[in-house]
Amino acid sequence: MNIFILLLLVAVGPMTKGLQTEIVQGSIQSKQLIIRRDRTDVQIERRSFQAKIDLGNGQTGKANILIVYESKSGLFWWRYILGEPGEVGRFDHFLAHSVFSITDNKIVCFNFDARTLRVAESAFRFSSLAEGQAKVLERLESERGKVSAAKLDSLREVAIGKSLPFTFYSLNGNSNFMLGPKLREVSFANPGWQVTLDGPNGDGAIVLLNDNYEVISSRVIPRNQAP
Amino acid sequence: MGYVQGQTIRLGLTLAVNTVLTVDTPNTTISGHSSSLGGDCVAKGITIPAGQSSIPITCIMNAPLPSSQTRFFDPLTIDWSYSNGVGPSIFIGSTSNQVYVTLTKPLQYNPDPNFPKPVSPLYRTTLHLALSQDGATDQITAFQNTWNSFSTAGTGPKNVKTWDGRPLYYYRNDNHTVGFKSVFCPSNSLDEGVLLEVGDSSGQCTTFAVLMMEALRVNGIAAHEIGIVTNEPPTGFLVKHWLFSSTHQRFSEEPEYKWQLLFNPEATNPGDPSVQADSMVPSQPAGIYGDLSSSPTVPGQNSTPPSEKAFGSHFIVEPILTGLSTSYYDPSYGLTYTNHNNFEDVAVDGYFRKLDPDTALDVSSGTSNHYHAKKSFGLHIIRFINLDTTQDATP
Repeated sequence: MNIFILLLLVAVGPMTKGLQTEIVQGSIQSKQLIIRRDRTDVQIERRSFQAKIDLGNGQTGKANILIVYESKSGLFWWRYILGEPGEVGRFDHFLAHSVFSITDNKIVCFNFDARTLRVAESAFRFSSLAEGQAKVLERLESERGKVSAAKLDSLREVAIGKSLPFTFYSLNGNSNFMLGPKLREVSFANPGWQVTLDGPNGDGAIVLLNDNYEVISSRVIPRNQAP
Repeated sequence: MGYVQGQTIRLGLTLAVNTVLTVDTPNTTISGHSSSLGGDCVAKGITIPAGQSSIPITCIMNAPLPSSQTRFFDPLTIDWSYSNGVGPSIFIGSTSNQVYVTLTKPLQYNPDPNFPKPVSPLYRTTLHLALSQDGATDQITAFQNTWNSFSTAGTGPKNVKTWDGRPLYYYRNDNHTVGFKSVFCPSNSLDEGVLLEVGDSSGQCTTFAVLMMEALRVNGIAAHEIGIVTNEPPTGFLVKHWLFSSTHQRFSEEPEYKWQLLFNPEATNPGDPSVQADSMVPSQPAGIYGDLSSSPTVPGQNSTPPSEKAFGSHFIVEPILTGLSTSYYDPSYGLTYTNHNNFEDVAVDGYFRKLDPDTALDVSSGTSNHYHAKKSFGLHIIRFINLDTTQDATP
C-alpha cells in the first residue's frame, strides 16, 4: 500500500508542482562570443531556444527566447517573443542587425534595422546561466496571462533619424528602402555610448548617445576617411 | 547625325562603281540635291581612278540650315547625280538619313569651339527624345517638345522608346520583371548610357531623370535633379495606388501606423547574402500585402504598374527655365508637381516603417518582411532636395 502511494506522487508531481512551460527539445542554440568592455575582452554566452507556454484559457503558445549572459559578472539579458501560430521563430535576422555591449552594471542590446535604432538594457544578475534561464521560464509561466502576442519586451527606439543627413541613409541614386546603413559597433565611454554605423555609400557615421540613449551629437565620416 | 541650327551640313558619301574603269576619269562632278533642304551639295573636279570599285566623296551644302527652329528630318533624302562635263547629268541614286537639328550647341559639348567633340557621350536616343517633335523656336517650346517625349500632356507616361523603337522600362513588370535590380544613376552623374545600354532596359527613377536632363541639355537647357525623401528618415513612401483595408487593421491600437504592410519574404530575404533584398519582387500573391492591396496603377514608363511601388526615395527634374507653368517634372511617371506637398497629394498613398512589433514579428516568422503603414493624405511630410546644393528645393 505504501509503495503504491509513493509511485502515485512521483507520477503526478511534475504536473501539479513543476513548470508547465518547457523548452522545445532540440531548439537550444548556444554560442560563446567575445565582446569589448572598456578596453578588455569579455566572454559572453548567447543562447536562444523555444519554449511551450501556457497562455491560459486552455491555449498554448510558443515563445522564442534569447539570453545573453556574462559568467564573470553574472549580468543577464533576455527577451522573449511569442511566436505566431505555426511559425518557427528565428533570431538570425535580429542578431545580424544587433550589437551587444556590456558595462560594469548592465548589458545593452543595440538593434539597427530598417533605418531605425532601438535599445534594450538589463541589469539582472544570476550566479549561472542555468539559474537565469530557470527564472525566465518561471516568469513566463507566472505572467502567462500578460504575455501578449508578438511583443518584444521594451525595445526602445532612439530618434537618430534627423541627426544624420538624408544622403547617409540611401545608396546614392538608388530608391531601394532595404539598402540602408548597418550597425557596425557600439562602445561605452563617458559621457555615453558611441554608435558607429556603416553607410551604404562607403561612408560612416558616429552617433553619441547619453546614458539615457538621447542623441548628444552625430557626424558623418566621408568615404575616404571611414575607418 | 546632329547639327545646330544655322550650321552648314557637310556630307560624306561613298560611291560604288558598278563597272570598274580601266583608265582614270578626271573632271567628274558629283552633285547631291535635297528638296527638303532646298539646297545642293556639289563635289567638282573628282577623278575616278582606274581599278577602284568605291570612291569616298565629301561636299558641303551650299546653304546653311535654317536658323529659326529645331528640325527632325526623318529622313533627309538627297538625290545624287554624276556628270563628266560632256553629256547631261546622270541620276545615280538617293541616300536617306535621319538628321537632327538642335536649337543651340548642346551642353554636352565644351562651349570652347576648339573642343569639337562632346565632353560626355551624346546618344542618338537622347537626340531623338529632344528633337523628334521639332519646330521649337525657343527653349520653352524645346522643353515642351522634350517633355512630350516622356509624358502624355502631364497625365501619364508616353512609354518612352529608344530611337529605334526599343521600350525603356521604369521597373520593368512584364514577363521579365526587374525590381530594384533595375539600373540607377548616382546623383550628378549625367550618364544616360546606364539605362540605354543595359540588357533588360529597366531603370530606376534616377535613370529616367538623367535621360530627361540629358535630352534637355541637347537644346541648351540645364536642370536640377531633385531627390524626394520623407521628412521622417526611418520612413519610406508608397506610390499610388494602394488600398488600405477598411475592415482589418492589425495594429488598430496604434495612433497612426495601424495597417500591416507585409512584403513577400522571398523579396526581403533572398537567402543568398550576396543578393540584394527587394520589396515587391517577387510580388505578393493577388497583390495582397497584409492589410494593404497594391492596385495596378499608376503606370510608369512601359510598366503598368511598375514592379516597385515602395520607396526610400524618388528622383525628378527641375528645369532651370523661366516661363514654365509647372516647376517639377517626373519622367518616370509622366506627371508634374507644383511642390513637395503636391507630390504627396498626387503620387503618394501612404508611408511605411518598422516599429517595435515588426522586429518581434520578424523573429517569430524567421523573416524580415513586416512593416507598419499609415495613410498619407494631408500629412505633408515629403521633402524636395536639390541634389546640386543638398538644400531643400521648396520651403
